Amino acid sequence: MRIIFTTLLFASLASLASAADMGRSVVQVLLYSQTPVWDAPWRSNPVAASSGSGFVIDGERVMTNAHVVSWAKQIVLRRFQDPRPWQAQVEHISHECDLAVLKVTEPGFFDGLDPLPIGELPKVRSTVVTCGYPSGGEQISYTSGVVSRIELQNYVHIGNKAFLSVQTDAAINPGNSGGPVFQDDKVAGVAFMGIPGLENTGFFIPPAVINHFLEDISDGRNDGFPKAGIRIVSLQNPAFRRYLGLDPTGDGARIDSLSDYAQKAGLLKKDDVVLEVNGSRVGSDGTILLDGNRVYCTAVLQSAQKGQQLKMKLWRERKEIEVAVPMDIHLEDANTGNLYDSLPRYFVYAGLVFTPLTLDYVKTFGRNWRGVANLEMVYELYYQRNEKPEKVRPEPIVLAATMAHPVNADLRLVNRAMIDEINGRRIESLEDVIAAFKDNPKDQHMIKFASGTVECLDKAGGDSANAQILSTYGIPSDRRL
Amino acid sequence: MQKSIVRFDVTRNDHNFRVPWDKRAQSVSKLGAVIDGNEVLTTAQGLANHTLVRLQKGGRGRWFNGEVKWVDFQANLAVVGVSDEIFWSDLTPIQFAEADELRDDLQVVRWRAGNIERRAAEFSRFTVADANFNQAPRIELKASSEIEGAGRGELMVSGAKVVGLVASKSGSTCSVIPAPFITAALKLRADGNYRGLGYFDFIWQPASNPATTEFFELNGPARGVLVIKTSTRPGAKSPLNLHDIILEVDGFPIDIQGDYLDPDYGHVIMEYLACRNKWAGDIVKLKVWRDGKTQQIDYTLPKADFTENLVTDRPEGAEPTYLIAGGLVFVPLSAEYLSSWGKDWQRNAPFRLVFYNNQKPEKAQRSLVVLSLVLPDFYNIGYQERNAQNLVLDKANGLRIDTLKSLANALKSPEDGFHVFEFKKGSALQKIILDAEKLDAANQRIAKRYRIAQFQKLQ
Repeated sequence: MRIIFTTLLFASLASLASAADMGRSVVQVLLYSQTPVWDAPWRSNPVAASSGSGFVIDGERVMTNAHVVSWAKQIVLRRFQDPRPWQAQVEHISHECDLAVLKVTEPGFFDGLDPLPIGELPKVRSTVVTCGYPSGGEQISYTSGVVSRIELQNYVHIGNKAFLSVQTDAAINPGNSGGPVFQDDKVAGVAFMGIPGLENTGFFIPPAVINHFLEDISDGRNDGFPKAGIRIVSLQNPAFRRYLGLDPTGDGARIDSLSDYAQKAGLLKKDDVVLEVNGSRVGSDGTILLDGNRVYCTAVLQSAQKGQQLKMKLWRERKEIEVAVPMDIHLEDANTGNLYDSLPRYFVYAGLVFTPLTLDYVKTFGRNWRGVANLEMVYELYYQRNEKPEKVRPEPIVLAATMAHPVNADLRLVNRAMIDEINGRRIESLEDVIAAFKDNPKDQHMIKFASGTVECLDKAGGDSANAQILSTYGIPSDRRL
Repeated sequence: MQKSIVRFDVTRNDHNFRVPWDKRAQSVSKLGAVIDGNEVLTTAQGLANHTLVRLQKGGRGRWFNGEVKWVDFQANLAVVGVSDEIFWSDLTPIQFAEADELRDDLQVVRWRAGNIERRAAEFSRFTVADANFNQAPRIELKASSEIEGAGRGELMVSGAKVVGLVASKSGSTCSVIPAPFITAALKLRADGNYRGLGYFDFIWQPASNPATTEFFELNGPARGVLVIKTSTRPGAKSPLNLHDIILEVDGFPIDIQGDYLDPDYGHVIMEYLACRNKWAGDIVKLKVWRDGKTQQIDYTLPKADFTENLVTDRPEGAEPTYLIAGGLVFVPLSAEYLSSWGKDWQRNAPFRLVFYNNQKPEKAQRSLVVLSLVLPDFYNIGYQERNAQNLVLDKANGLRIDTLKSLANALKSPEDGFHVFEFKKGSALQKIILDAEKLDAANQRIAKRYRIAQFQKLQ
């Protein structure tokens, strides 16, 4: 017992020692950022200070989380026990997988900092060491823990996508974000989030997702994660399996629905049973075996780069077939996720502020926005695309606010309303709004809201009041497109 | 008054529409007033699914069995009879107040612990009640009073006359069904002519924005309301056109808020003109602005009956219906089902189901059936996750499903030994397959395990 104990102690000391060496390549990221006000889109919130961690990777770059450097006004890096500030810029950022790569132009920053190699997916129950600059002190900090489990998790930074994620009981605190998680002498992940209310649970981004991002940007562009546009559900009911001609207890999960584009492509069909993806056997619950862990098969779908093909073995009409599914980028659901780094589009006419309907916009209603937003808005944002793709508006527009002026003072509906038509033109983008106001031959503008409510505006009055309203309310420009 | 006011003790079955086979006995105590013809008037509240109605006079002593002779949940009125003659000895009918006697010296009267309790009340205003779900407009008298726990049919009186029945109380405000409305309804009932309440099935918005009235070329002073939906009733043909401006209803000018000046009740919302001495089937004369000129329109009041809506709203008191197939519990998408999420159902019920309440039925599918929950059994393994809850059926065995009956019918013709359930496009799960041969055995087993006496109740 004693010997084993000593050996264990030695092993763990060794691992900490090497982590400490590697800690030299871990940097603190100090950020000043400014986010826009989504319901007054020409305005910005006060400048906010925050901090995170990062680490040096090959190619004289620093890796960190996207959320550590989003909406950056200034990024400053601090090296291990070096008092000097170093200015950095974002070279590539993926808000989907919450990773970013920074550059430092000032020579000398990388002197003496060894790039940290990206390792393998750690095993469940194996020990990992986190390293970074969490809140609660100034100096570098290490914590260690075991890998608790590995599965797909919703990435909260983007909000509407799930990727592979590793859970650990090593303390991951604010400020740790973007820092490396070590195993042996390699990076086993990037610490990135916790779940409020859960104790001893931190999450880090595993090597597969990190490498996908690094490979993606190796051509100088971040394309993102392609999608197959299918929804795979478990196929465990014996009757359903027999209905499809399958062994009641065998493998394979079912394609329950397809997105509009996958349907049109016609390569995959409803009720296709996915038996294998890129050589990985898919279980009846939709999971594959990945390095000893059962994870949802989406993890394999996400391994493809844009333009690549994914081999799928399918069971269709009682026969096994193979298809090569082209993987492309589809951004149709971007407005249901959090948006970053590009300022909101808007158009102001006669004090009426029009802006696209996005999750960021509805979040301005407060945490309970689903109870506040009108039904048409929620339906358009989350349901229309899946139910009636032919009726989807590429860019649904809302009347976000009305800047009070005699010309618009008689309007009763002045904000938080989705637009159906303006002057008889169906509004599918901000450009439609601009054109509808411009091309109106009548004396009044007529706005029809999605609820059916109608509001009119005197055209001559609106045209002439425009400039004055902009200056009264300090709106620098009537549009941002 | 103590010879005219009686106590009720009602036992009823309270249904949980999310567990539709479950009945819970509930006891309701309330009050009523003796009216002409040896009958007792009370509110309709608490009478749905009653199993036993008992009455007591004098605030103490013997209870008598009663029988509900007439009830209208839309009007919130009911009439109860008692066959035992002894009950009627020394009871005298109340006298109702006229429209101009509803405001002064108000008191709330009820039995409490064997004694008559009288509490002062102060008239506030007349208003048309807000509807939680589909409802005909009802005029209510609002009065404030310190009386505790009222709202169970207590009498609101002025001197010796009854001003109305207290239907509910929120804070210190009592909502009272006013006497003129009650007497009109009782008279029609006595004449065998009661047709129920009507309502306006169109939706309007205030025409208070001058640019809007200019756009629709209405000249003259600001007035009227703009029609933005001509009918909310499925398949209805409305005499109104979209964007008509309603200027007058039965000769009453409508202002830009949508109010009119009622000779009895002051400024009230125009919805009440669907009920002001009018009943379902009656004609209301509308003066509208259309295409640059005024026009007279005869508008026939539809009955306040919402059973044909896409989200069906069956008369109160109808028992919940359901069909259990292999542990899958199917129920009609109904107002009662949505209301089972509580008062705030619009926020708390699943969004997609709530949104159907905004949508009209289609020819191919006039109503909807929901898979509400799954009673776990290995027969339905694979469908027990959350994504298989509150899905709306599209087809079963290739047949379009709009009612439980059509579902029961479809289950008679399985496809090659399987029952195929297809849910609406966009559902979190779009297909479920069950083994048709083993369905009966599974039904028996599940009904036994979950102690459900009947695995279907279609009507």
